[in-house]
Amino acid sequence: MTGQTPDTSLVWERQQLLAELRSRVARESDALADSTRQLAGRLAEIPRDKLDLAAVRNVENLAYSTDKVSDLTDLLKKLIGRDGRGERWAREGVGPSLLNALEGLRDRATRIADTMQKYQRAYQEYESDLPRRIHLLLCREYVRHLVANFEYLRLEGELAHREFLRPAGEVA
Amino acid sequence: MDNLARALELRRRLAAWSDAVQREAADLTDGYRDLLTKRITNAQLSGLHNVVQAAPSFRQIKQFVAHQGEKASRAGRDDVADYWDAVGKAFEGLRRPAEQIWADVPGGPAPGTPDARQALDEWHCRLVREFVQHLVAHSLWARPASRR
Repeated sequence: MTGQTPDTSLVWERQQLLAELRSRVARESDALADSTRQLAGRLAEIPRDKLDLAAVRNVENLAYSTDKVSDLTDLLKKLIGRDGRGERWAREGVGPSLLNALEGLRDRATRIADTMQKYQRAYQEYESDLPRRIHLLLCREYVRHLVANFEYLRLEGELAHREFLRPAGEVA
Repeated sequence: MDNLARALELRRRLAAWSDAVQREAADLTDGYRDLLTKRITNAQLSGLHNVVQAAPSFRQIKQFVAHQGEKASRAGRDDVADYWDAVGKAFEGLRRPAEQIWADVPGGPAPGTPDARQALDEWHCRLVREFVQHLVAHSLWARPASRR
């Protein structure tokens, strides 16, 4: 059997890089979870007939299916731009805030990528594309937390509203 | 490099290029922000998007853009004609990155052959599609109404 002998040290380096990357992205994701809550709250305040769960999930689905950050930001730009009345994504700057938050993840991604340079050969295989890929991973995490918080806060808001409307003395 | 590996590598390079060129498309749009909505309508941008998505060759895209510019000139809207001219030049300029990406990933048709020329033309169109996606999205976003 012919073929090249695998460079075991490179394989090991790749595995180390991926393992550390996964761990750093997970840590960053945990840090992002709370920061999405406020934005999710603003989204949850938009009436259901203007912005339902499917509309928000649509952004999440794209985040997990695309290989480009720009696909995600283009989608948001279109959603904001098409909301001429400011009832949905353009309402009180909620869409632009999300867009800015996703753009802001670029610096975090670059910082994580910088720490990966110690795996020199494995890092070079990415041909300086690693920060962009990490940025996409962070965007996915951010949107995932946003949708989870949105779902929770919307339900919480609706339950509170029902409670408020219930006649005094009536048991739930 | 086998066909699958090549296709994946091209896809990866296209993604990286597209993310990087988004800023350029946004800058082009921002340079003509005053024209958006009234002079360069959503219908025109949708038309551009549709043509670019469906065009089998770059020549057709070029014709469409040139036609839009000529219409604007005939109507005395030099500023709009200037916009289409800038768009056309930007599209032409995508030939070089298309060639570069194509050259960087070995295993394609032999250079100089009709197959290679057609493949490169298709690749050029793919880059234009990415650029137009960014252009249209940023144009919608940059309109005054979306900046509330």
